[in-house]
Amino acid sequence: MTDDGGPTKSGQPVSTERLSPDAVRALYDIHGRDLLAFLSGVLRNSDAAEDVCQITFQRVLESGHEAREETIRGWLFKVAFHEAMAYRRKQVRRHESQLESLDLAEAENLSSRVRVEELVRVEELVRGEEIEQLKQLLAGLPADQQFVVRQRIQEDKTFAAIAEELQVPLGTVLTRMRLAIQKLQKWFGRDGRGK
Amino acid sequence: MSLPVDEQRDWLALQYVLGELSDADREAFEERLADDLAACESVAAASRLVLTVRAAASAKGVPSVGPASTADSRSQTKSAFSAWLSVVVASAAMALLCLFATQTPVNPPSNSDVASVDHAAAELVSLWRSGMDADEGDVDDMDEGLDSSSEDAVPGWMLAAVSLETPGIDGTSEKVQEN
Repeated sequence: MTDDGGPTKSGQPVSTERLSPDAVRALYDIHGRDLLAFLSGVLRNSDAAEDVCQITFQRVLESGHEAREETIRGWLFKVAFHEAMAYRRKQVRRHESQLESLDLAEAENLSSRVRVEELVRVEELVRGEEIEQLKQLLAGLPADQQFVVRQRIQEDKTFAAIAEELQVPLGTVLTRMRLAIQKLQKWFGRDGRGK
Repeated sequence: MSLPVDEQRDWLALQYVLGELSDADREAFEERLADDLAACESVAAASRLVLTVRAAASAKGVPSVGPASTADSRSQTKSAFSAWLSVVVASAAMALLCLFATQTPVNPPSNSDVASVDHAAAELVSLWRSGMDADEGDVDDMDEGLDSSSEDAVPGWMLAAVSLETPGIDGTSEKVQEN
């Protein structure tokens, strides 16, 4: 299912007046958390995700009235994705110009610092009670699946590195991870995606 | 074995969030994100899951498993042994205390023993006093000490061995008459 957020495919009239700040605020309350999670996944940087989320809702204020109410969620994600891509292109250009003026050691230090920033401000997306519930789910996983999950997500090792460490095929590691995530995602569920 | 469509999408989204896709697969998936709401929501769910797992795994209480857990199991064995050893030592100490307690007679002397105890106590006190006279020569002070209610002049072992305040036949306590 696609949504371009454009006016009246079904002939339904679209408002010509801009959305009020209260209406935009209400949209943020409904969709903001999911949008922020989406942007964190795309940009892998919490600061960038917040910046782009803010830009997205600025666009909603400017032109959100042009979207149909029943497809506003799709419109929001579309705008957010396009803004994220624009942000990333700008960052790549800025990063490249910085790297040109640094030596190798400084460049590696800059890259590692950017990675650490991904973990900042987790509490905006993750709630305390969710952490407790997931802790119990993690502890209930089979040992081999739990190990792969911890090594990949907490230790940030690649699947290939984990497979080499365990002396098992890469496909085995991927299967263990997939099965583990299936069980964990049941807790998140499709109902928990802001619908 | 092919996965259901939604599971395939979720798995792809997780790999995308973790940065595990090749450049070509990543570009293809991002083209999909441009106008596929379901794919966007899969990325959102995967992102939140990864962050929550990181937070949960970092928090205390989640036991580590797999090859990295060998050192942990060894330390767990050590602490279990220490706990067992503590229990054994504490039990032995309790047993010794109980044994010591049973050596000490707790039953009050019988009525027929009261008179003999009184006589023995008096003799002991007399002997003590004569001994003190020979050693220190100040009987009056010792008498004062003996006459007073203070127990400083009479050694504790004597008091423990012979009670100067024994229960009477009718249950009332009476003091032993000193000679």
